[in-house]
Amino acid sequence: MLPHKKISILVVDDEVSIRESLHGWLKRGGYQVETAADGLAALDKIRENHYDIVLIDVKMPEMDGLTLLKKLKESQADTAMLVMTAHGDIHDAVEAIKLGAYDYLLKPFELEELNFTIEKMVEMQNLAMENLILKERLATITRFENLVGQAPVMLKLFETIVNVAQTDATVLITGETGTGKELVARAIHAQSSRCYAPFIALNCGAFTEHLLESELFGHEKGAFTDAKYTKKGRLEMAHGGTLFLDEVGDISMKMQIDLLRVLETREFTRVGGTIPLRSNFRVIAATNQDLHEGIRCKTFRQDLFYRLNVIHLPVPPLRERAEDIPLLAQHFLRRYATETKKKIDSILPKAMEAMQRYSWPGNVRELENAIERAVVVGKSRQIKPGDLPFVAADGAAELGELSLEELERQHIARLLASKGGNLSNVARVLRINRSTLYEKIKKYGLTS
Amino acid sequence: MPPPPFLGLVALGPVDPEILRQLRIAITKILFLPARVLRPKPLPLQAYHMVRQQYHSTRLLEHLLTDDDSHAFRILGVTTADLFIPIFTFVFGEAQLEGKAAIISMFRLRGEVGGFATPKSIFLRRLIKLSLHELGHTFGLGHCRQDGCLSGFSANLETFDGKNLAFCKYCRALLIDYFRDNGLKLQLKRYQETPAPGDPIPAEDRRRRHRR
Repeated sequence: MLPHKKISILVVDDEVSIRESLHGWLKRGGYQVETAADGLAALDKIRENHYDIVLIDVKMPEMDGLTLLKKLKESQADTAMLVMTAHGDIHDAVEAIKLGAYDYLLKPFELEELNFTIEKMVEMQNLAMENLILKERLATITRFENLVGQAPVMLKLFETIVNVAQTDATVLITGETGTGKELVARAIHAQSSRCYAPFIALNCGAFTEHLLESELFGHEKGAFTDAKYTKKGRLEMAHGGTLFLDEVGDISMKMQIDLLRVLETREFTRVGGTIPLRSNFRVIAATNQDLHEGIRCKTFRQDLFYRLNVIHLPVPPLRERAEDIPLLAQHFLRRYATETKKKIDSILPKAMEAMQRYSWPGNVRELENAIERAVVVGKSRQIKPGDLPFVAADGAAELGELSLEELERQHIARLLASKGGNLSNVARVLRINRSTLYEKIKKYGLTS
Repeated sequence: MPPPPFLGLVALGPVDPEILRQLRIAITKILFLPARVLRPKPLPLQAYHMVRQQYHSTRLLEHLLTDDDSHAFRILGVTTADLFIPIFTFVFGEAQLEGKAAIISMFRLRGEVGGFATPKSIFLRRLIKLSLHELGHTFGLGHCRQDGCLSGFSANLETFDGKNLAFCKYCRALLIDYFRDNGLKLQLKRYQETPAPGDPIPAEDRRRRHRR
């Protein structure tokens, strides 16, 4: 019900004089008014038209006001109902409020009572409608926020996201680093029925075992030396919503057992606590590791894998959807040009070609960083090949001005940046072991 | 040539003729419609509610129109009796929306002002406001939500006294349209702003008053 629309009111009363006087008065008040002599007639009218407000008399033949109220509450959830009752029928009025009526008025009303109550009901309905519109707008905005792509693999992924969002099943998202696994998880949450509850993300790889335990389950005051106050865990915070466990492959074996138990029972206790707590959340996990390999190497529990892998969503690397690079590049260009208030509006064809030739080991995140850097350092209205970090490095290498050591240093530095400092991943790409990589980082004075 | 339209004032029961005269002058001045005091009518017994000791205003409106041979464009009934419609404890007045008849009661207009008996000037001002409000309904005006507009709903005398003795610019435009559509002329300024309560009178009007 929007402010410009005429409010429609249905008056249900068996007394003609009451119906007539209310009809006349409300009509003069600028409302669209219809009347019904009893509950059955009212139901007939409501089946044909929608009313914003229904005024119901409690005592009526055929079908009384309370029965009508019950029926309307089942079928017309957005209609506000006001009950009219005579002195001495307060018990019915209270019953009506319990059944969901907005308010009750004792007949005959004072002039200001009816006007005031109807204005409040209109205000309440306007607020409810505004709330609904805002929620819809927000849902549209956050639907596939930042998930950009027209490649067939991406279109298939979007379709799967929509289907998966309708269920409450656990989802395992896999993909290389920087492919947008968290964005996929957020999109699933945004389209699910849990979208108005929190989306709680936890990067499992960023915490030590003890810290992760405390983060996930929370802790009681005094549970350990630094536990100066009771803290809610992410499991509790995610109640009603979605819990996103990123880098789930990095969880220790002990924590995997605890997590498995929680996923099975949805019950847990805070660290140092004794009271079991229950939380209703949906789990979406993500990893860039090969969990099958982890199971073989006994670093990942098979039962946890099956618990997480109910629905598997693989996110393709950027090199497998090179046709999306121009689209993504333009998307990031628009965003960073607006953020930095720079008048850069296009990418030179040569720069675009270079981007499409490049392998993007850091995937969309690397592309985003490259465009952000190009926007920051760029001096003209267009992004040139020289503004792109990987082109600049390649160009220098072609000149043969770099020593082998310098080339190695730059390559490791670039990989570290693109893999987000994850040494295992960098070592895997370089096909050297972690200790060798660590020595080289130390030698070149790099930071992980 | 048909006679120019006029508004008929009908006393229902005993009403002070001086009040009717003052009301006639005020309506003629504000609405630019000639008004005449018509033959009074008695209050009908069938409209009286013994328990509530009030008159049913809708029945009185019907009574105003029975045997009416005055050819009045609109009829405004004026009474000292207390009025009601079944759903409310009382009403100040009632009108037929886009109909011919309206009625006002003086019964509740004499409410005290600050603990003192209401001065006659304030009582008359209330009476004129109420008459114009109800007549507005007969010209198709619903309750207006503009602050201070005469067409706005008032549940008590306090809010009633806070209203201007003028329609807001929107109601004014609606009135002019209604009169035009019915082949009549209403000489109100279409976009003249309604002064808020306590606002100074515009300079132009002040000059005119001075000359007079």
